[in-house]
Amino acid sequence: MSSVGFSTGALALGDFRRALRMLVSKHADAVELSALRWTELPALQGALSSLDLDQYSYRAVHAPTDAPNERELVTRLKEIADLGFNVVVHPDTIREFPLWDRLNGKLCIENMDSRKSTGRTAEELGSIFARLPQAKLCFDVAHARQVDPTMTEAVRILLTFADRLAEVHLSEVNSKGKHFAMSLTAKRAYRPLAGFLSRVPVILESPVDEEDIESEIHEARDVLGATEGDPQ
Amino acid sequence: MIALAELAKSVLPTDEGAFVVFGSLARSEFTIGSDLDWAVLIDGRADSGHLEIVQRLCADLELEFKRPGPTELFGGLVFSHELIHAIGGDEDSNKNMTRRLLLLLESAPIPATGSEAVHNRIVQGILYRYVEEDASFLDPQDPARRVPRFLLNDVVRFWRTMAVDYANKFRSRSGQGWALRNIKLRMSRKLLFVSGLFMCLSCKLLPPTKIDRNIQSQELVDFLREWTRRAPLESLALVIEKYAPSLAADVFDSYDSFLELLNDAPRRESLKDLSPEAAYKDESFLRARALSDTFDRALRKLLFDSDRDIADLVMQYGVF
Repeated sequence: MSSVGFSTGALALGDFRRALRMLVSKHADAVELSALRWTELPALQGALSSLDLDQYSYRAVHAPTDAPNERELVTRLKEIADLGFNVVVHPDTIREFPLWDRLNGKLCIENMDSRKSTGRTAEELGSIFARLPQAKLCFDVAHARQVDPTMTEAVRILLTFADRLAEVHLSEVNSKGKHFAMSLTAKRAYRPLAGFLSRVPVILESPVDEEDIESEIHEARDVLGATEGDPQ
Repeated sequence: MIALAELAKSVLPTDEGAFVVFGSLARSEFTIGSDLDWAVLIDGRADSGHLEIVQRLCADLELEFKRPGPTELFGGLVFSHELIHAIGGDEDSNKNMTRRLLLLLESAPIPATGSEAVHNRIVQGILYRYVEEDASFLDPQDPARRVPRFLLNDVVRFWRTMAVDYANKFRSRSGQGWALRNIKLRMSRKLLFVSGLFMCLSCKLLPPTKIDRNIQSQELVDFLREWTRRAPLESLALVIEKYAPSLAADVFDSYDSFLELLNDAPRRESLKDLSPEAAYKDESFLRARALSDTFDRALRKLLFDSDRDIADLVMQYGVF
């Protein structure tokens, strides 16, 4: 079983310090530090070298989705990647693909929910990866289920890009893209994929209170450990 | 299709609606006198405003196209919940079953905002039900080596329903349009059935190469979905090319001639007005019957006399 942890954005929106305090002494060994807004990135970037992240064997940063200047965004993200963080990026953030080559293997492209116009399916992701040959995949299971509740598209994505899979986002989303803790039907849909999902660090995006963090991690480990064997 | 996309582009709800065509346009066989069979599929929250989408589309479409037929199968809103949940049982009306099977066998989303994604989601949802709830189809010891009987039974039911409804329409419409319906039943409707039959048999004839038992439902849905993306004639062409290339001329020449006849406005109109008594003395009708006889003979040969594997499967699954 790989490491499991939380997105700081799910726990405390842009207040990553508060989220990290919530996670202290919890059984979380992976973390994704969120700066979903451009205005949040400088503060996060400035704090990275001084944060106590020893608890986490896997560390990533989620890039802003509203950066006004793509070149400046990539410059900042490159500095973050050089500190050893994976960088999760929404594909519709990318306009000038050659700029992003600088992130090399640290760039993780996240599959999108059905409200977006790209990055939702294996085919759409394929055209993005064709232009970013070094990029990895951050597979958001809830987004894939929202695109196709049968999980057929999820399987297509996982089979097509198995060698790029670097991180998994786990939660449930509604039709408007809002994240929730996993429901019974979501867990039922995710369990057959456990052999794929448990190979890489799993980041929970469920917006839970501090007292529910441990139980959500437990639920995630239960879902991820549900298969009888690895997929062939 | 481009013109239809232009009409639909600003009226569909984001990520919850699809503008879909069926019938001849979806089969890439649209001819001069063809109806435009269309529906707006809704896969999302109930919204009374959805009706306005249909009203606006109806008004625009009637300027350019013939109205859909009088059965009310098309030209309105269709909801994904009925299509996916009501398979069999009292809730599965003739209309619901027909729409569902047509979605699988001959439908195409108009390339407008979100239309393709919603259409894809619903088709996969339907296929998933057939796969997931077919107890004998999913065999962990021997995946993808069986014919999906749940789906096959619905394909057969659809074909027999079309044939029974053909007789019912003769009565309810006082014979009007009988000759044209007769020829369509023997050509395009039969093509639809044969394509659906091979979609099911193909799971055993051409199984996916690699199946993971944890995700075999999804892999089988994916396999069936690829089949549904093709027009029926294209699917049949793949089967004939592989198993019975010598039948290609009989199957496709007769079908081409049938389409040519439909595209000949005066002949099509004359067929519409023929009574059964007059039909067997009418040159156009007799010509069309001869084409459909050739088509039928070739298809029977394909099913029973061309390839041992196909014949065995048809005998094993085609009756019971």
